[in-house]
Amino acid sequence: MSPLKPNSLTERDLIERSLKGDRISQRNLFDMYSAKMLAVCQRYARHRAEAEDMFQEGFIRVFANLDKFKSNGSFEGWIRRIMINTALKSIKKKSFKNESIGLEDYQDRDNKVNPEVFSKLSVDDLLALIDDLPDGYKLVFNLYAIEGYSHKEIAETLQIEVSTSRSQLVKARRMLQRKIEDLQKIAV
Amino acid sequence: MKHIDNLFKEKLYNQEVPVPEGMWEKIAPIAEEETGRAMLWFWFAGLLTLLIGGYGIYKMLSTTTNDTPDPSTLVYNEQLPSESLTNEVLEPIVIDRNEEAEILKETSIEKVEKSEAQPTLGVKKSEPLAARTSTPTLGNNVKQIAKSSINNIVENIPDVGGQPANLVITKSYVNKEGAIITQSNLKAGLFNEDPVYDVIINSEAKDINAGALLRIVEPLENIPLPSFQKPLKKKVLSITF
Repeated sequence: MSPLKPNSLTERDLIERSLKGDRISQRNLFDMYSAKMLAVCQRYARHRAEAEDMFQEGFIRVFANLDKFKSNGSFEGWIRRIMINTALKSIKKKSFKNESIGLEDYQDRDNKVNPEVFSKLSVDDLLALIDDLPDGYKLVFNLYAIEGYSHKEIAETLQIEVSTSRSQLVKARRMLQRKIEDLQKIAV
Repeated sequence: MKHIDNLFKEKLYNQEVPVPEGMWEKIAPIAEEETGRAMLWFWFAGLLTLLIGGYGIYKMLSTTTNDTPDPSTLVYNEQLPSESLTNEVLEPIVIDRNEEAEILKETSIEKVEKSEAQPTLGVKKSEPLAARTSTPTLGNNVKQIAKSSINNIVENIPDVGGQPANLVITKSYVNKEGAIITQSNLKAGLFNEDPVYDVIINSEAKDINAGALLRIVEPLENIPLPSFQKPLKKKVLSITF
């Protein structure tokens, strides 16, 4: 979706106008980031309807807290954080219990993939691969590998141990790598 | 070969998906309401900050005034009992003669202010500036008259070697001829109901008499400049040297 932001208005202008209740500016901000943020929500949700609920709630929180945004940071990064936090709030955390046990079985070996093979996979294929992961693996992989969170941040956000976050990531990578190798074999 | 994390991030971090029609319409009303609420808190917080800041400045000014007493401070005493008002003199304010002219020029006149809601006058040392009130009836004209009167008197007071003089406000009741009435007549009600307030400067130096600076008569429109000295001199109860 193309942004409606007029050339003369900066992102900061739109934020200030939105704070004053200007509906057009609010709409412009929404249009600028909605497509990306829905994609973020989709990666965390189990299905499309859940993603849309997260997205809707996330944007309401964005506008409710707009006055708290500090202009010295990235606005997109700020929105993304809110979206992720909203998504995480709606996800059960049961799957994280006792996950640190058995870490030795999933040693983080050389998780490298042939880019040529990988390039043949579409975005939907990748999303499907992530979606097939158990909930805990999926969350940690999304947060660590794609969003760039540290294990410490993940542990704080999900209220789990840092070691749990590490083990979830190792297991997620192993599963993804195995599936990609399987797809490669099928293609050959 | 690339790390699996990087491969996923490259393709998915900036991924976009079409947003269904009508999604904004679901969000907009709630967003508007929430933004309005946030702004309300914003303004409320701003107003609160202003109030607290203003109170802080007020307190700071008050403290500063108390810490450095101004010898020419004249304020009103709201608690004088009416029975003791006749020929009453309150605590004098000490003015250092060396600084007298400067003080009178800069501060004294500005501080001879009165509120219509406070019919009794008194003199106190070291009261906060904020306690002083002014009223339109004691406006710039009155101050100008008083200022020129005081300056004239000060000029005519001989140099007494830096000894202080007193600036005093007295409250009296006068009869129709303008004479100060006795306590017994006051009780009998044989006086004008409205008191007069005399602003006087006084020194006990041998050749200096009390000097009346200003007489303020209620209603406050009438502000005759006094020309008498003796009646006022005896009102001065205490003089500090």
